[in-house]
Amino acid sequence: MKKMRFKNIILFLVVIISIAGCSTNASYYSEVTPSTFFDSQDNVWQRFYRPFTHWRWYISSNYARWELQELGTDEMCMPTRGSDWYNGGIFQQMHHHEFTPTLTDLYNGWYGFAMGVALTWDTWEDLNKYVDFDAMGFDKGTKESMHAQLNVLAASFYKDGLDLFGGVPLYTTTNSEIKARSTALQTFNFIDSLITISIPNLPIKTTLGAAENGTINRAAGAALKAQLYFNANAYIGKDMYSECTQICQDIIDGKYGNYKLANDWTSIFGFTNETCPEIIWTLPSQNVKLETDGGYFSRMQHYNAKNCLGSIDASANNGYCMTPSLKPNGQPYTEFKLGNPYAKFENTDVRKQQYIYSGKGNYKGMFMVGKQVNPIDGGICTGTREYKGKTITLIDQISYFKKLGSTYSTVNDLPSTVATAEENSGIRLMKRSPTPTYAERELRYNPDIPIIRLTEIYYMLAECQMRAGNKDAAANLINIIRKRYFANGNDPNPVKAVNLDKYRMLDEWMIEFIGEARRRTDLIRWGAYTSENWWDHTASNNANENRYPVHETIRSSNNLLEQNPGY
Amino acid sequence: MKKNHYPLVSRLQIIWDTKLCRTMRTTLIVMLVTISQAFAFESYSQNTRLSLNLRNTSIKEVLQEIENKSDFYFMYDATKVNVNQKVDINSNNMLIKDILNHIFNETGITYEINNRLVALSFNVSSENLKVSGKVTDSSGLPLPGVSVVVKGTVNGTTSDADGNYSLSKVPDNATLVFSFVGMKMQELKVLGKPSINVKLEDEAIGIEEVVAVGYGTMEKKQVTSSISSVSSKDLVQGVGGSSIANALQGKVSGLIISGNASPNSSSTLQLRGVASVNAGQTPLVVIDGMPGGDIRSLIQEDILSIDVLKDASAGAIYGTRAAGGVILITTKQGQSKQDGKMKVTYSGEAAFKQERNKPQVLSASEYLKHNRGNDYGSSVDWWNELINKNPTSQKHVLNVNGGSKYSQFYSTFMYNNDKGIAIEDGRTDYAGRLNTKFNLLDGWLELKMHIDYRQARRNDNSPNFQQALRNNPTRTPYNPTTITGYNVWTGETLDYNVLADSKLFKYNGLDKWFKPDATIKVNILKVPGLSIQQTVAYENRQWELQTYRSKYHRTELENNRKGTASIGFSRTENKSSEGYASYINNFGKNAINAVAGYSYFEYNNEGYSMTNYNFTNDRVGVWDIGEGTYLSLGNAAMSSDKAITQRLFSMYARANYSFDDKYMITGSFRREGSSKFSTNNKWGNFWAVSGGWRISKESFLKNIHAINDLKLRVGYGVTGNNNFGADYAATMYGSDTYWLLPNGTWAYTYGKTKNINPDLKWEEQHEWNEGVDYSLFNNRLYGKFDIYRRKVVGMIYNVQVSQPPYTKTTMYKNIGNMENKGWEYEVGGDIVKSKDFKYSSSMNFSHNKTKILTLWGNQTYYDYSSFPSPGNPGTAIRIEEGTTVGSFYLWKFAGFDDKGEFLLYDKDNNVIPASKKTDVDKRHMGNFMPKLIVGWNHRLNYKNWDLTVNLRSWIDFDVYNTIDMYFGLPTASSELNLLKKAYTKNANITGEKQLCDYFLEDGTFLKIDNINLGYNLDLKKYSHIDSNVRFYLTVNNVATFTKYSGIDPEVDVTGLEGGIEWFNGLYPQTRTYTLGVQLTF
Repeated sequence: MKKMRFKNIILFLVVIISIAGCSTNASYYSEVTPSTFFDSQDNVWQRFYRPFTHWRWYISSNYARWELQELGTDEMCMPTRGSDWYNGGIFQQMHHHEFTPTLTDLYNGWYGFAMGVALTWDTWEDLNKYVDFDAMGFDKGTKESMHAQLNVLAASFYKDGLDLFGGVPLYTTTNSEIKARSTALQTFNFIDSLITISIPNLPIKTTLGAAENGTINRAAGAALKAQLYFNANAYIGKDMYSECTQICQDIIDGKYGNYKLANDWTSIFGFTNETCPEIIWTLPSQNVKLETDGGYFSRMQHYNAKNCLGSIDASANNGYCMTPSLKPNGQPYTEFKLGNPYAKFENTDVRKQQYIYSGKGNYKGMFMVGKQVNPIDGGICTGTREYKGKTITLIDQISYFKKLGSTYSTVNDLPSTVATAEENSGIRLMKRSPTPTYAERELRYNPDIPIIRLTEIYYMLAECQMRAGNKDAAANLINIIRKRYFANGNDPNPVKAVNLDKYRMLDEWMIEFIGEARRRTDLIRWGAYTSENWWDHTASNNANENRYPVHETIRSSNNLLEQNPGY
Repeated sequence: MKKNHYPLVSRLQIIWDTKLCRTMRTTLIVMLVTISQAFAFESYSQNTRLSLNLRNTSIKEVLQEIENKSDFYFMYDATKVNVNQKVDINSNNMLIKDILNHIFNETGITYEINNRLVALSFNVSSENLKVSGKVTDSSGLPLPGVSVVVKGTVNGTTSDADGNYSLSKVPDNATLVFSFVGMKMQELKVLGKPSINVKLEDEAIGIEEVVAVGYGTMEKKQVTSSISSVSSKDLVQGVGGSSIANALQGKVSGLIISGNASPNSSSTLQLRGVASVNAGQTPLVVIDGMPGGDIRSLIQEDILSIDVLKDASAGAIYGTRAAGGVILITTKQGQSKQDGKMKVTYSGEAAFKQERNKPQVLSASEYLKHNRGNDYGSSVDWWNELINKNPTSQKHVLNVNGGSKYSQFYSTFMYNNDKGIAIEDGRTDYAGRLNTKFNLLDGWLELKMHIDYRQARRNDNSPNFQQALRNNPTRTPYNPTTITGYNVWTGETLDYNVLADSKLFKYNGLDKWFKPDATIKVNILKVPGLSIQQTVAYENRQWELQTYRSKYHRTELENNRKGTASIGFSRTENKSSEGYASYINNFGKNAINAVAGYSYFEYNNEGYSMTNYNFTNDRVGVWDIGEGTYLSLGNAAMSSDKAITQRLFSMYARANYSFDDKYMITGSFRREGSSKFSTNNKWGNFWAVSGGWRISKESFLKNIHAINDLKLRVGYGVTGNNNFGADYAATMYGSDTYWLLPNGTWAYTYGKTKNINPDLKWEEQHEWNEGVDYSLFNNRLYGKFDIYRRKVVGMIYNVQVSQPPYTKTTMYKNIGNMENKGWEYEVGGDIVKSKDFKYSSSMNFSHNKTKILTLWGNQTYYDYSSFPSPGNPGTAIRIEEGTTVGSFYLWKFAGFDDKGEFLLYDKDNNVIPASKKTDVDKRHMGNFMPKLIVGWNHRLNYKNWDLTVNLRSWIDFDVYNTIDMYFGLPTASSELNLLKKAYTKNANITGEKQLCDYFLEDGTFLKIDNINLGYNLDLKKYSHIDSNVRFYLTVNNVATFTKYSGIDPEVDVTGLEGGIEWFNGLYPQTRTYTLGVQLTF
């Protein structure tokens, strides 16, 4: 009997263990449910800015968008330097406009804008669903302002899609089936309407020089609309220069907020540029917070550039450079109207000198050019390849100088192509995100990346005036800007009605905006992208090249997407 | 009539019980015998068969039953013969002799049959009997060395060279136990006989074998599904590798194992082709009954058997995780010995590795001759620089096991130091196991416990062998004038000192597996065959990693930094609880084997890591990680993460009914809920039905002696697949990067972490399996054949999705249906069986074809296998309706033009230059799934020697050779080294590489996987201790015969994106020589 009782106890225990609570629900730790996330105003802002951090990635952290706008043009290239930057010939392909649907930049070029749109609508839907703005004590109009900013951000993404690929699928919500591509005109109108309805609700900048933080202000919305109209002919085959003129004039007149041209160009790109009055839309960046360098330091500077940049702890891979202005024999290229970017800067232009950081956020020069020795600390950028151990001198030529005397007997025999570079070939930019010394490394990444600045409005207006036949007015507008680059405003070659033609206008765009990821758009607007020769590029006169093909993986993810003609 | 005709027993008993009659006994018997013999013109006892089914019944009652059912009658002296002993009898049409042998077994009762009369007597114990005889094998050849022991005593001997034995002082009611390695143990009653000859049966594949099935075991003859079993002796000793996967290679038809020769390599297993497109192709591993085990935690010596449940009818009871098949692993248990003696086994191995078949690149002089790049003045074979010279590995395993009727234990200690053929690649393992089993409360209660621990200290820092292919061979990795002795140069991302990179980086990883479980089993003795058991198991896997990169390392120099230290930790905790009731019983010809129970599984994972930079010196590194200056500068990194707790709960039942061991039917059902799915689709039902017909038991085959066993099987089952991330069940926010808030502070932005698919459902596999098990010619030819057809419904696939509407690039979707069709054939034979020489061989063949049937929704194709930089030539695999899994999606090669540029075919089969290719010109071609996979294993025994040779072959499949593609063309980047082929076969090519079938090759191969030669020595001759020793030599990865021109045609074909020999991730082909000794006493 006693034994039986003991056995019963054991049996009971076994059954108890067996039926002990078993759930099939998941538990979460490193993630938060949306329904419990929003418990302070800061949380709401953190959710609101999610598409902005993606925008930051697309605009300046990933290379794709920059390369797609620069590498097939006359101002920048990625030449093959020995074993570096051949990469199966993809950069040479881009220079020669041999676009195939497998180019990886095309994947990110599409993915970047499309994911941006998706995040933007998703954010808006979540804020609408989970946040009671009044109950959380937000100022009146905050929700409307957020909505307007998101609309304009989406419009900005869509404008990139339109610019690179033409018509794209148009979504207004994430609760949608996948869609086929709309026409370029539908896309254009959609962008236009998004901006138009949103501008009144965008915040307006009233204090001149108030710090920019990435918020889309009313002027940014207007500027985006102006950009759209400015290129309307390329996008939809219709001139809208007069509409563009109106908006540009309104911005300059302060109707969209308080902005002013900068006197010193280094204040536009420098270490405290968030307060530069010229900047309309900026990408904020700060040391150890959001570190953004405009996306091209590591792919542009020489391996040992750090040694002549005050020993900054930054590595670089010696890639991009400006297309050369000089032939291997030292003669300038005269057979092309486009290109020759370095030569097109006047010799007295303050930008046209080696970048030197003098401390406390002060610097001069926009290029890495010539003998790479730091005049302050004596740091030397030494070669690692053809000029191993020697001081690197960056030259405005691209060729195999090291093979002179062996493979090539004279400089006239040397080839100059995108396939024949050495480690010192080509001049590099130090424009966006200038670099401090190691001693002041906590300033690194403090420069914001200006995305839209007042100068662009002046230039758009100038081109519109020029196209309208008002060349004097156009020249005037450009010369206002040019002046700041010369000591005492002594511009040796100001724009004049007589010298302002298509090529001068394109030159002015290049000089002012080199490396700011817009050259392709400018060339296309002028019909020059497929019809002009420059350096190692021969015109194909194939207008299909004005649109990139859609990457095969993008089409794999949405089989409704039609390929662009010609690919 | 006969019932009343001989009511003799009771009457005789009364007579015999009187003392008076005692002396009459013998006389009467003799008389009756004489009479019956005289009148018997036919022996009744030779032909009469009876069926009886009595349990726990006294002998007396059994005898009465026999009398009732037959014409037999019994005579005995009830004072001498104890007929009150309880016995069990379950006879099915058996001869009286066999029935009596059974019921009198171990009762001390002997009998004499004289036609219908059976006279019983009880043996008087005698110690004086001398028993001798001859032991032979099933073919009649004498067996030397067979151990003959009087059961329950230490009295024993062994048979001599002619198989003869002689044993004295045997009680005449004793039982002799005959045992010999590889033979079935036999017990025989002496019954006073002075001469006993024994024929021992091979232990080979027998139908009496027991195999593991879901939640329990089953006699092999009753099994109705496709199950392949591998026993410990089939696992070759000394093949090296730290996982049992190497030893399992080629043993099971339809099982493909991928991995490389690195000690730190992990293996991918795949059964019967691609089970799912990409969510979970690997089989579920169940270790000692607990699902979700890690095959890497086991050591080969502890494994008793591996049973592979291949078809869905077997796997369905494991529900959601069984889609890729189930591998049941059983570890060894302690063997109880009546004398309580322990058995000790020690094995030690030393392994030596040798590299083979390295890629042939240009030597320094060839490099210069072809003007590839700079001359730095040296001549370097970079591949050789990265090879460990003569690495010696060692392994020691000590095992003690033993026990009594009430408690058994099994314990193992293992030490293994495995050095890879690549530098900076090795591991040191310690492992321990304790398996115990206790029988308590008179068999009412059983307690079982396993405690399993293993740890592996890893140096998994082998160099990037790709660099050995492309580094300039004129540049030396050494510079004696530097502090490190290495020539470290910077600024070259494609040609760097890969040797120094590895040497100046310290990698210290520690993997740990701790896995205890306990089972309480209650045998409800009142209901024979019924038991309830409950198991609780816990598994803790930990991973610790410390790395330190020296300040002299290239990366540090390039970043003007002095050292990088990082510490990382992650822990996985699995908890399971399984309880079930099982009922196993026979009623006459009916046998029932049934279980019902529940299962609960929980997965938890958490981890953290930290990284800091710029240290004062290289000495402290990870052990003073705060010392690096980047922490105060704000650039140190810190992270922690806790994964979503996943839970599975299910209830299941399985029943197997067998009639007369002839007709069998099995059914199973499981209802399972998973936390990975959203509320609507949380629960799934999985079921299976299968049947078997042992046709050999039918009367029309019974007399065909060549057929020992022949069984037809058919089964259908539904299993599920939930093997993908847990974070798709609900919308969650996670952090992205900093952004500036309006209040001027920086904060992380938050957004959705995943594309949630609320419609995501179970992926289901519906599988038909038909098979035959056969055993012929005295069980000397055996095997099985299976044919299956599996439909995967609602394949779960992580697919590229469109943005918008989705916020992330990929999403898990049920994308369509897929079908696997194939067959498997296993055949084994004991070809030669003689006294000194034995040879057996087994082969397995498998064929599988997988097709995409339909794709759902609006995506009609998916592209995968993106080829990497340089060049990013495109994707090589496309899934679309109607395609065969295994086909490549490439441009079709059309030759070269006069300049050496690639020519391709466009979609209309016009020849076009490669620069004009478009994506519509690509097409499906080739197939990486071998048409036939063959494993061929041989085992030879000659006297004390044995030899095992294992071969494997994959026939008719294609491999995409990216090594040739990226390193075999002279157009590749200048400065970089190339294969010799670039200046021989491909010398005239001037165009950039193309993703075309120029690089697609036939991969057919035959491999000699391993050869094992062993010598067994019985030490009893030299010592009074019962001991033996075995010496062996194993050569692993002996040779490969193939026309394929790359490194190894055995590429990963598990999954959808297989068939490509990648140039990145190369590991040298390694041949291993292992010398081992195994001592048992």
